[in-house]
Amino acid sequence: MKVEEKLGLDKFKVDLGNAHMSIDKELCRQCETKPCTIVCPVDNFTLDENGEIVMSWEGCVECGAIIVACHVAGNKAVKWEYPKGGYGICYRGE
Amino acid sequence: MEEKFDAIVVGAGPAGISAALVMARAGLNVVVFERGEYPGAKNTFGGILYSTVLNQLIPKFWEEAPLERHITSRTLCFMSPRHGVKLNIQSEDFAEPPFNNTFTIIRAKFDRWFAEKAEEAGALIIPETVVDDVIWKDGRVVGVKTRREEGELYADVVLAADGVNSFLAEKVGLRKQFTLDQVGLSVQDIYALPRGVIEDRFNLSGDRGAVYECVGDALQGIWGIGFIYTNKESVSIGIGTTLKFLIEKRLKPQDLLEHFENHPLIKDLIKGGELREYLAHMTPEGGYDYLPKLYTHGMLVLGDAAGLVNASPHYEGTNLAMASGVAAAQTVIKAKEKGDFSEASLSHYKRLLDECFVMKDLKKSRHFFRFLQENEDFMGPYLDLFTELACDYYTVNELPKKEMEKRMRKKLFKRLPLLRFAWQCLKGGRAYF
Repeated sequence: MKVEEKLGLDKFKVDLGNAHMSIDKELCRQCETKPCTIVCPVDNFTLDENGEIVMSWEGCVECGAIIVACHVAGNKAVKWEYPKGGYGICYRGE
Repeated sequence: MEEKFDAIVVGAGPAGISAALVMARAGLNVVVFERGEYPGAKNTFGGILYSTVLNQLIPKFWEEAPLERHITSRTLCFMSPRHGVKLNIQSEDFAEPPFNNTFTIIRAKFDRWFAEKAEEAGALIIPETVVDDVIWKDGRVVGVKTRREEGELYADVVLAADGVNSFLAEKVGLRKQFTLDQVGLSVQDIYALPRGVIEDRFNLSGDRGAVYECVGDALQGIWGIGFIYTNKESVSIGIGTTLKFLIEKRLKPQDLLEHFENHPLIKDLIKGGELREYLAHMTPEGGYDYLPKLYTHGMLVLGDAAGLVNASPHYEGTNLAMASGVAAAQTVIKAKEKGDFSEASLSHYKRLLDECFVMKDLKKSRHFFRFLQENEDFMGPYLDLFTELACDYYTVNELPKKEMEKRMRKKLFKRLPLLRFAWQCLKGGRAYF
């Protein structure tokens, strides 16, 4: 099953219009390795036809891997904070 | 008037709740902030609740806690693409209280229950609240800034139990940025299956449970582990490895999980299961040599936030988290009696951790995982060769057994660099012991 479909099963409370992450496009452009495309377990970072990163954030499960990957193996382009209290992923365990 | 608590705990996971429970029982005025809708809403883990500390906090907790199964069967599975060797450890002793202190749980259910226990003891649990920073005054931490209106709260001491990403420990300067090999990422699927099917497939009855830990082609030959945990009516299946290997080998965790779930040795265990949830989480795996400083004036760091995970074949985290919660609480209670929350007074926390299993176990396992990470042969070519030889031994064909064994020896000497292997085993043995 594709990750997109899997995320359809998870419960999210999306803080519409308030992304909890952002990318500095210039820094991102200079990054050669784009580790975000590898580590993000929900494919929030994908390459477009121009080789630039397209970010989506609604289906973020808040693991934090992107922060370490981008800041250590990438070009420190991503800014990330927790979503507003009560928003974001909500695991149910069933 | 500004409200002041004895202690503010950030994070309602096993570490934060243990601390809150002990402090509340001692009569302290405690508040716990949790950013999820409820405790456990953001939490998942590599499967096992180790419960020695919990059993001290809440004796015979298994009579009331929302547990899944107690683990009576653990299987270590060495996998190559077409072969496998399984080592199964099973004991009737594990089926009797205290059940070897190993249980499968679902965090969304368990953490919620555990937080209720702290609440009953008098702690105030406030969910849906992000803590963004601490408040400093005269060189010491005196409170927290929550992301709410008029969200500044004050206390004698702040306990940062805010998990692996601990922004608080970083902001206060106690912890540095992780390196890629210090942090593990795991992804996990939960498949619903009827109780009877799980019990038949894993050879279980009642509330007995099974765990599989798989290496080798479980993760396409890279360092890391594939795991399966049986719950009452579901099976959790996942993989975990460090960010270093994912990035170096350009392997996506979700693809590794897909590979693991479709492996011929695994796929029938989850066949027909209905996928219910997909989860991902990081684990601090740097171990003893990368521990941050655990305290400063007015603040302590607990659990995953402090990197307290025993990344070894034992792979324990919940137990260490709870022990750190108890040690932190005892430190705060003592500091409160003295009225001294300085760094020197709070250093008692580190002493308590040094004296108990937490630091002793971390110290013991400080080298072994790093050895395995630096000697990838063990997860790839060596493992392939040994599982293949094991299968050769039981392969039935026209050849006389003597001839078959001769061919096995030939294969062994051809594919195993003997000197290098012996040297690695020696180094590995030293790293372990």
